[in-house]
Amino acid sequence: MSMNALQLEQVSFAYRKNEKVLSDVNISVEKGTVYGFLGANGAGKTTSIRLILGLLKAQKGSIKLFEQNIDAAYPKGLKQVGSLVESPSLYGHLSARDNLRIWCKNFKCSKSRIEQVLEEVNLGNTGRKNTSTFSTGMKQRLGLAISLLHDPDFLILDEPINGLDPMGIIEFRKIIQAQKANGKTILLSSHILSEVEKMVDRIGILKDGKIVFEGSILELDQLRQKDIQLKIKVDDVSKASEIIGNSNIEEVDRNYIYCTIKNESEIPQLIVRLLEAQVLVYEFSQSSSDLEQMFINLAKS
Amino acid sequence: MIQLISAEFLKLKYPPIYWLIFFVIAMMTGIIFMAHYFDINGVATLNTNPWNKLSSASIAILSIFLAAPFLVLLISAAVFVEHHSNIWKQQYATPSHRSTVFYSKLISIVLLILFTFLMIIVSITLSGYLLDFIYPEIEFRYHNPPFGKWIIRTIQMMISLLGIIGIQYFLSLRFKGFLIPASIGVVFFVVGIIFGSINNQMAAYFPYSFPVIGREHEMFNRDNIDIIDYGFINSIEIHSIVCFLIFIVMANVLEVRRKVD
Repeated sequence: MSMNALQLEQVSFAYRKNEKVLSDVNISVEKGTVYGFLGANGAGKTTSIRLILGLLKAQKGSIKLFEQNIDAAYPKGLKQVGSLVESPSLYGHLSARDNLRIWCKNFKCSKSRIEQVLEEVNLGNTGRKNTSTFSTGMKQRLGLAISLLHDPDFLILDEPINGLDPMGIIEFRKIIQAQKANGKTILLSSHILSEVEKMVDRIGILKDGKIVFEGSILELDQLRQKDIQLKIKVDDVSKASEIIGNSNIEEVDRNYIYCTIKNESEIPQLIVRLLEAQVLVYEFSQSSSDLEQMFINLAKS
Repeated sequence: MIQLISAEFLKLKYPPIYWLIFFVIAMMTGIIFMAHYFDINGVATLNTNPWNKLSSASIAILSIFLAAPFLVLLISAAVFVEHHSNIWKQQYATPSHRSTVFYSKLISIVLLILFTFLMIIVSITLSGYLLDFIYPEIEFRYHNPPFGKWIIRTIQMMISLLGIIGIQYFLSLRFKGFLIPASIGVVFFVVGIIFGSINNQMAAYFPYSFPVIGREHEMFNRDNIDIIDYGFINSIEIHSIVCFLIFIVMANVLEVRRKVD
């Protein structure tokens, strides 16, 4: 049986009474895999990560890090964990190297790692420049360098692609792939499904503090084939509504029709039928982001 | 822990902190030098060691006027370095226990304070030799600076400041910004001087008065304040140690239990 790097069982947490942020959360991250932890802002992803890192204490349930209970594993067990929680924690008055030197002393790792990780995240040429003058992307990359510094077995990255430009995201993906190839386990939290799904093996979706989906990318794809919400702008709303079928229409707003179809394969047929009826189509798009659509599907299923 | 303390010193390469240290050393030396320079006849006494006056004046000015505000600003700034950019969430996700981090920071702050006081002694000694160059008749060069006594007085002053260190460290950890702990400290410093200067019994229990009344500085009357001398240490300094221990233990317990968000 494969070992779990992380396991959350029935974990609940509330900052205040009657304001539950997490409710009976169960997730398991297998060793050597990349796990996508998804959810809209405020869903409870960062709180979950803070619980895993021992920054907060769960009021109910258990958290196991490499099969060891977090209470027993903390803080020594964190030697195996590299983390980046929300925005990177940097000393703005110091250079990237000095920042890494501080964390190097905290993790008691070799000084030679400083140059290695700086090269890995493409910050080798920042010299003595203070990190307060870094761009958001550079800060994010330095945050990633801090998490990689002590060569941990388990990386916990909370919204790591925030602030990265397209090139930065590609570079980031390469780093994640290299880490995975080296047998590392990675927990990647994000609210952008399309960015995460390219990197992960399994996904957990958190909504309002509850896990609404946990499974493989394949299982996620099957779920995605379900209802698709469309946003269509036409010149003649009544004619278009007849063609689409009133039962499928959710809302009509001026020239926009919001409707639902069962399958992606219906899209080309629908466009042909609209054009044959001489309805002018100005816009045809999925009306919500992937993640929102997933939530709609999950809520319906 | 030594690794963590050296990490703390790296963090303290914070411009406001080293400017503050430079300012205190320069101000202390400047005040003592100017006081001697402009009133050389009042300061110099025939056949006495001029260094005694120089060292006791420096301890008095530091104890009464400069040490407390210096500590208030230094401790607030040193802890603010962590609050700024919310470093705690990264710091407490390392394999070091929170108490180890807590005490490493405290030790580095205390060492920085001791370093500043040492530099003040060095800098005032140099200013003595400069005065000797300007006024050879005071004869600084024919006497040895009383380093032993000077260091003992500095240690006693440091003990009387421990209460303030404990309170300020506690406040700086509890409040996320710089302004609140610094403002509270400055207000308490003023109240401390008032209690000390009006010879009020309350001064014996108010930590910000301890450096003012802890030792005789020949500035304020201390007759109404009960001070028991136990040789190297006195009752005021014991109050200071007790206050330090209470606030440090309290701050540590709260810090270990704190929800880091």
